[in-house]
Amino acid sequence: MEYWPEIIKATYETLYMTGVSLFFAAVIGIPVGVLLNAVSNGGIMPNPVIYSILGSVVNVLRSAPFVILMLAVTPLTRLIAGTSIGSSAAIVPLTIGAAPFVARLIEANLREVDPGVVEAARAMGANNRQVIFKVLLQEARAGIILSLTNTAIAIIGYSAMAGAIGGGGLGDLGVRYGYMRFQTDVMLITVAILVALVEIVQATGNFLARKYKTK
Amino acid sequence: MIIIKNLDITYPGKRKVKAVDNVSLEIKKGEIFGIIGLSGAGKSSLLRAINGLVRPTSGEVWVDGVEITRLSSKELLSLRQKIGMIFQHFNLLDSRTVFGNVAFPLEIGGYPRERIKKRVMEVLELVGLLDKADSYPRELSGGQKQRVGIARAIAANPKILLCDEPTSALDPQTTGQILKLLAEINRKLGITIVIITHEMRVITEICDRVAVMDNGRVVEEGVVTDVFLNPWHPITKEFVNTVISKELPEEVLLQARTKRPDREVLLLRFAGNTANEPVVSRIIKETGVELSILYGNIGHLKDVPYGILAVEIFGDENKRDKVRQILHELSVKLEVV
Repeated sequence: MEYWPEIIKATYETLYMTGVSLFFAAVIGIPVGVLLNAVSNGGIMPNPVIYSILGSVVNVLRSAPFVILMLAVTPLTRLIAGTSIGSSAAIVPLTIGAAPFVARLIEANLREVDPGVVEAARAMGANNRQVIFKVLLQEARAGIILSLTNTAIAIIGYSAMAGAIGGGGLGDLGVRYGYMRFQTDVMLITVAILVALVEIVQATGNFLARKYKTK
Repeated sequence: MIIIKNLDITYPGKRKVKAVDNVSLEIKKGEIFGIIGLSGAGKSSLLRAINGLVRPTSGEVWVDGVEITRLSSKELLSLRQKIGMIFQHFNLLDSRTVFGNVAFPLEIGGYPRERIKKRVMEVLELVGLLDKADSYPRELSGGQKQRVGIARAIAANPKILLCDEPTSALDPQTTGQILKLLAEINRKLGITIVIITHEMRVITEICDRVAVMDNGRVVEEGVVTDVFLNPWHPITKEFVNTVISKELPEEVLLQARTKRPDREVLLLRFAGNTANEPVVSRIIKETGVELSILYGNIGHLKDVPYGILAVEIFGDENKRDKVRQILHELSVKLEVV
């Protein structure tokens, strides 16, 4: 079959988009999630005003359909990536779409940490920074790993849509060959590779979560 | 060591809850002070006012000469490093090994790595868990977890140890072991211990003094033997009854009520050295009365032996007066039933 080089290239593009987007989504989403948890009712520094403002921003970004978000942020994409088409350009909307998702998941992960343990740390004289880094993020680590696993899988799915702005990747390949040119074999292969990717990511996430489990 | 003056703690909200209501207490250096009360009595808030985890609404809390309600947040953090705390549900960090848990307060205190290692091993040896240093909390029993909690609480050499229902999640046998360990730490290291609990056993086994709380107030306070042998508040009486039934059996009461000129039923209560003396045989020898024991209960309050005895004395008025005199000399508390 003469399509293998293209399939390999598309697989690489999907991995590239997913990996880099996941990285930036985590870099942005984890601190926001920590902040959301900290200022929430029952957090380490409750602040209803900040919580509702930040929460609204996160909700708006999360509720925007990805296709629309992708087009809406085109000017920003051009500013950051220098272009509005291609895999690198797709990373910008993918990150913006995934970061709020990460933030909410992390907020929930941290909420699962036993308040008694936080109280114990406070009783030992830990300050807020120490409570966050030595207690909350450590105690919630298995949950955080699973949250990032879920995010990675969601990004793989969204990256298929990124083909719409010429982002490339497996989804794009599948649509162009399979749907537009009726080349079922290429489409099936791309779907099979996507399924395999998702399985591998999930298995890796589960393995790491078990390795770093706390309970 | 700890002085609490007119402390009020009211939690804001729709229904204002006054958790602590005008409490004043003084806890002496080196003693084990127990605060007993039912759940919701306010003892948990009172305990947390001592290390500033709960900020009081009004009143003063002095710890080692410092009024802590006036401290800045930063000063409060360094004060807390000098006050250990253990919890009913242990509150260990599940992500850390036993070693890591005990090292935690030392990391917070900024100790160098070598000293942390040395100190962790020292306290683990003290609580008898040296072989569990690399275990995770999930691999430990409840009693072992509380030992880790204790090791963690004393790692940074605190002067005060606050205990929040330390044995309430443990079985009776383990409770005994943990109480022994706390008493040992108090004796060996001279750490002042404050314990809140709803178990009378904790008070009778290791506490020197006790305060009884009800509805946010301290309703009775004093040396454990006094409070234990002469409780007056209904709540205190209830707590005392959970350990020993001071209520006389029905038959004894019945017998006592049928008054006769030549006999009476006395209830004797004694503690300390008197408990070791042959009180009964002395009475019989010196006065010539006849005596039968209707009911008795003896035991120990921390290290102090005590006894409660209901006796029926046969003899004329004269002899019985003499009996009273002897008992008075021996400082036995006496009650005619």
